[in-house]
Amino acid sequence: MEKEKSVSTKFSVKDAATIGIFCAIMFVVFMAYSMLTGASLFYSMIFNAAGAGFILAPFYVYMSMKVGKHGPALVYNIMWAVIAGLMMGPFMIPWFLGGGIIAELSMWGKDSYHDIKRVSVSWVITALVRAAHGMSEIWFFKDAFLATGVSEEQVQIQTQYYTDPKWVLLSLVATAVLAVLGCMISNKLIVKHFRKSGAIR
Amino acid sequence: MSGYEKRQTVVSFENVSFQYPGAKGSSVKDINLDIKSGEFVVLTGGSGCGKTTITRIINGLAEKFYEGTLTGKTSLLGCPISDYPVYEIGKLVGSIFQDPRSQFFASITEDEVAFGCENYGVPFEELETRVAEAVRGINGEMLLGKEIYPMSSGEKQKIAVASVSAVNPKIYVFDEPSANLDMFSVEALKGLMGKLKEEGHTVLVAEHRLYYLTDLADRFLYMENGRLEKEWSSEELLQLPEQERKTIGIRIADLHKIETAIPEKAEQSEILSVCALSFAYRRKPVFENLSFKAYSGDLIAVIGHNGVGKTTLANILCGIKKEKSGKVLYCGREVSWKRRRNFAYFVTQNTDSQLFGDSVAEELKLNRKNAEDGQIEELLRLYGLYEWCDFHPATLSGGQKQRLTLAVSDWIDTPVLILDEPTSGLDFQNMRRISDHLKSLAEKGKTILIITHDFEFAAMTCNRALYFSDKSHVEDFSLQGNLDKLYSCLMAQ
Amino acid sequence: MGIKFDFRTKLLVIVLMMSLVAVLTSDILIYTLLGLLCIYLLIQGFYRQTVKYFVVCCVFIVLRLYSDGNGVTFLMPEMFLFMILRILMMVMAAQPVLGMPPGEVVAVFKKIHAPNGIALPVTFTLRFFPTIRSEFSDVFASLRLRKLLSWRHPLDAMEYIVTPVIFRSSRIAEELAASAESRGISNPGVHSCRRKLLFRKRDWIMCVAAIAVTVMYFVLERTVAV
Repeated sequence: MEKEKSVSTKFSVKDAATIGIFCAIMFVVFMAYSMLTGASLFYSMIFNAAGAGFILAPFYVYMSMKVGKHGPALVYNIMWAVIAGLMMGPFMIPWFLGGGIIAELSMWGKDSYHDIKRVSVSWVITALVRAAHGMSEIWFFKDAFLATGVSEEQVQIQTQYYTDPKWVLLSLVATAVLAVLGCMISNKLIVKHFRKSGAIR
Repeated sequence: MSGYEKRQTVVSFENVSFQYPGAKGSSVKDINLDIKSGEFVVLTGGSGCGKTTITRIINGLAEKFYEGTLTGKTSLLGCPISDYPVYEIGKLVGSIFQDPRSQFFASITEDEVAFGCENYGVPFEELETRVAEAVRGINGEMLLGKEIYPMSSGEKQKIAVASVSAVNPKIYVFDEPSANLDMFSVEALKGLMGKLKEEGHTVLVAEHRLYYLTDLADRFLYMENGRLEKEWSSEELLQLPEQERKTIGIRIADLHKIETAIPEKAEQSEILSVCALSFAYRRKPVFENLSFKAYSGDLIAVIGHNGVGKTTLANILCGIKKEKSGKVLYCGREVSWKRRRNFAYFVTQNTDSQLFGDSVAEELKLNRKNAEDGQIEELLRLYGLYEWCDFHPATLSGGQKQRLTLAVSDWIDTPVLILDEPTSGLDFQNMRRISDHLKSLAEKGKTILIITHDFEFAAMTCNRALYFSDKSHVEDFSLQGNLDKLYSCLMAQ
Repeated sequence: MGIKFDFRTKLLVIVLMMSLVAVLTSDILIYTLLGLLCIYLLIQGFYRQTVKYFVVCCVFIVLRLYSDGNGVTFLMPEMFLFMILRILMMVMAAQPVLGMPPGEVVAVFKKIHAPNGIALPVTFTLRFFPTIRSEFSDVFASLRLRKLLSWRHPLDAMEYIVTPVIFRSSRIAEELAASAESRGISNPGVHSCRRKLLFRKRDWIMCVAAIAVTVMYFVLERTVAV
């Protein structure tokens, strides 16, 4: 019974429900968005994560601030790790898991989940982890691709977008910028709607 | 009632008050309550009177989940409620909530019914029999193995009852269980409640609709502004003079006493004509060859059981969905589906998804940027919302949100207005307010279609009924002198 | 309805597929493996999904033959075609796990004693998936009726779509959690489960078959490569 009293720092069922449901929304929105923009593989490779960092931000920021205690960043990334692991290969699991741990560590300290700046930092980390996973994918497939007998030169040309530091940098910078922008807009929504209505205290 | 006095007290409140975090005042004040074992008690009163809060105090959610502050003395089977963790209360008190859509977890019936038992570690060997018994208890054999998500609200509510009864608690607490049900399902719910009472369970129901509870309840408690104000037995409630009932503001207890207030109609110009309309969802026909006409000033109750396509028809009429075949004519001209939204506006049941502004006034301004403050004030006063002018729509109660969506529909002002269940969860005062307002709109020539399961509301508002008896049959009849027919249509499965 | 395998069997198939995908280079082997995966899905009763995967496979195989190692325009370099076929193989192997009924996933979580911090959110995620579409379409419908959607104000549009969805989802989260709490979800004692997870004879057969196929493909890959 003593344990019940200290609920506010512990993860409650309500928090689990909030995280679970918002992860579901983010996953579905991400899938819909990826399918819409998937027609251009160039866009998917370079700007997919950037766009996702923008449109998913309001859900992430709300989820984090609503829960208001440690956990959302880590759990969100673990969920992605499992899904990515199932769909792209188990080597994705440590990638997202590591990203999740870094994102959660960035929230070190008390009340960080009520601070939009801190939440934004964890979101940028999360978005960058997503942006970079596409490249790790290429590295994973590259050996098999080379083994099919295509020339090294051919590989260079065809993988230029995501092995060329310029493109990689562009993708990462775009992701970071759009993720921050997304968080700024989310913060406006938080103040305008969610704080005013008392949904977030 | 005398028989219960000797029995054991299961729930008692002494001077109990409760305040939600961040709320300005207490939701319930100085409540004294004593519920005996095996008693059936109904709590009623207007929206926001505090009846839901009482149910939450008993099932422990008020303090542990909503994190509010409680003062006074409570007791549940002899111990203060605050001493129990919520999961312990769950073994003693089974809770069934208002919205059946947001209280199930599993995807199929058996998993859901077993949910509570699994949490309490009921051994595997016993689980199957518990589930089977609970399912038999709700006559739900045909629901076994089926997915819950596409089921009707009535079926979901039944499963919610089964899931709670599998745990076999002593006390059952219902929070507005009929709000989202059609009349047939309400009858089934009544049957389930009767069974619980027969088995000796204590039952507490917070509810607006009273007619289905008069056979079951031992006591009706009336609340106002967080206080218990009146208490009636079923007989006393049934004998309450109509005028007094209306002044107190509770819904009808005896459906036989319903009076019609069928609006007079002057002109007869045809506004809407539907010709041989068909719609199919994933190649399964929803309805076929549907035809009817509506005239200016008509107030039409659209009735029929769930899944027969009433909401789909509304979606087609306002151009959210496209028909498979057939025609829709507005003012005598055929209108393509994309342009229908200029002629018809649809207020759906899901009020949350229709409000976008950051204040009640702003919500109206979204559709008329240059509106003057005077106009806004006039409209909001009409709906009793002016005091909430600067509040965020999300802070309003369900009934207030419903009125705000109606206010928005006045602003958009299409010749045809379609409403989906405008009275789900509305108390008597607001139901009458909406009814009166719709009638005044009809008098000005608007055609209004109301999808409803609510006999009381339909009888006091509409002049015609459109009854979907099956996929390809629609019966169109006037309500004048036909209330019996309306009743039997609403009760049909 | 097809044969039901234990989740451990399904996981083994995924892991074996991962290792094959990383190694295989021969087109013939990849195409035949896709065929075997189709059979693997069919015997489990994923008829509609199998047809979809089959069509997608065919499209990309044709595209590859057409591109003949040069890629189809700059949007689809050869590497992408190559990758998509491989990702497809993994998705197909993962399909039986992705398509598990939520009740079974919860049972698996209980069986492996997953920490509540993960198991609980996943339970809610699975519960919420089927409703998301209708939540969004309700919002879009009412925005269309109120004529508030316009491409000229994309940020306003975003606000109008996102806010109601968040409000509603947040409310559903709260109501679901209340319902779960009142039915003892946070009971600290042992939870039971009505679905028993059994590793049966058919699982042994499937596992042996999967390992045999994997070994065979490894050997074939070697011989073809040499």
